[in-house]
Amino acid sequence: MQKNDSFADMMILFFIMVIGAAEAAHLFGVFFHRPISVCSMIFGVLGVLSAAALLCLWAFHRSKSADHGVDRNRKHPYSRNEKFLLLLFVFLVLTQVLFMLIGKNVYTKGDMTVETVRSFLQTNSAYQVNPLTGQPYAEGLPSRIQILCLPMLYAAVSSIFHITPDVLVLYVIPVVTLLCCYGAYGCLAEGLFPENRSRQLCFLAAVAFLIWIGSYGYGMDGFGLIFTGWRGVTIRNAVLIPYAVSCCLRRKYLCLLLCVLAEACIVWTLYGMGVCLLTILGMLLAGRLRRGAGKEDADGGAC
Amino acid sequence: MAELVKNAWAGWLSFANAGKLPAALLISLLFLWIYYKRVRQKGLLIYTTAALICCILPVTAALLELYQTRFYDYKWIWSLVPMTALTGFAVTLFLTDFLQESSGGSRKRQAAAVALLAAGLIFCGGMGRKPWDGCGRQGEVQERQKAEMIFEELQERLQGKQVCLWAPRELLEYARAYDAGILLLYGRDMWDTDLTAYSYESYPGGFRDLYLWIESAPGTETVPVLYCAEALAASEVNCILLPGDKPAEMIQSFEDMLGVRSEKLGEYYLLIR
Repeated sequence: MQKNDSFADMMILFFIMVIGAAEAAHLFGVFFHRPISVCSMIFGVLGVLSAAALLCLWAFHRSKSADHGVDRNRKHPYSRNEKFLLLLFVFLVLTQVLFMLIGKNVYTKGDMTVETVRSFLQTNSAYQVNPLTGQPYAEGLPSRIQILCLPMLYAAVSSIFHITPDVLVLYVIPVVTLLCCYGAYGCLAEGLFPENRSRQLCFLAAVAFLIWIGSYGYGMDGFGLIFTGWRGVTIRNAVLIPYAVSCCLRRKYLCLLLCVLAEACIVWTLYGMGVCLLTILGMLLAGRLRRGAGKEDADGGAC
Repeated sequence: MAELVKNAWAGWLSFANAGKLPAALLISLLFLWIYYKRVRQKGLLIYTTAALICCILPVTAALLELYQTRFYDYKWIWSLVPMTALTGFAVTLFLTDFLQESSGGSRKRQAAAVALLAAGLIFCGGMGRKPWDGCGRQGEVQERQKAEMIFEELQERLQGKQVCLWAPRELLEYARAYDAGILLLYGRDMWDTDLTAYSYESYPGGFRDLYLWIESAPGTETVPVLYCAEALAASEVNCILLPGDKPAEMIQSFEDMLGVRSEKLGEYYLLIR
């Protein structure tokens, strides 16, 4: 965490830390054959600790910034244009949330997350039975899939907050992913247009509009967010990659590592190291090439 | 490798044909390259252009497909291209820089240009439409609710006993998501082949025959009914739901082989062992 981290940064970092907590609990459950109830407890403790640590750090940096009189939002009140853009952005996000909650629009083809979470909770163990039939595994499943933590994360949240797995996975998590996605794009807006709130808001409104537009086809960011927000690939494409790009622009190198690790915990990447790593390397290389050509900007993003 | 390259090229053609966002991205890139001097974050522009070229050229696309593993198909290599971010970036620059200057500060001109841009994006293709086959089809919510009512009824009738179910696809589809206590002979991976990648499991050939029989329209069954009845008698299935439009003599064969009487449950014949 750094002094110039925003609320959006904190939100994404918390999201990544929750993934880390779920991965730790999941590996403990899978390799030591511990019940889901114990893993949920571990996840809960780690999650609370992460939240507390982030809150303390954020409060500390805030108080330090306030001491130095650095509070950009108080310094510049919102102009009429900015208010309009903010309203437009909020309106677009609200329509998306309503569409997801009321429309019962989910795409479950090729996905068995709900069945997996229900199986975890039913057997109180991870991957003891085939989620699609309830019968014990005869041949087993690939170890790279076994270590992905999203089913454990959802099972733990489901048991801690007493939410049925289908409601949690198909409705609650997609809304959380959508909000985190806008958090990540908020960070990216800061990276693209530093100190220019009007452009940042314009960028966010444009992104919200593009998310709606992208809901037309499988594989698009908009489709993933609106119809399959619980999947690992959606979280990677809509949250981790925009955040990684924003971190490249703002030179937050530790967060880049967190993005790569978070992807490895939620998405199958057997041979490669994942899309986040490739994106980060590409961004850093592009930045280096540009600097090599002697064309660095005065305001100086890393990329 | 030649096959992979061929698939990659076919993937790009299909991706570009079906989508308006790739077109919007290409226009955005063109705009940003024309106004290159004004773009401050050139790294993002250079990276996106390079990633885009790699995703379009068949050889590099094939290599990226190998990198991401065959678990995912062609369109997922596009995760490397920050399409939404770059298009949003270009739209923002267009609205805040280019448009303000070119309209000479006229609000009306600006509003008209924004409206045209939005209309172009909205009306070139569907918005919020579901273009897929299979799951997500019309009436899925009703189908799910109907299936859940039947599962409730079954659980009431079996009074706490473990249910091991054989039924048509429209019921099995939702069984395990409704209650993980319901066991099945085969799951959704029988018809949703994407799911087979999640495990090394495979079903015995006989299960495929059972699936084909129950999904066949009456009179078109290629698998003998006696074969199915025998297979079920030998299995642990204790709850069978047969489609109501199957001929009475077929239902009779199941009753004789399993030694139970059938009864109507909604539009199905129910046999409980």
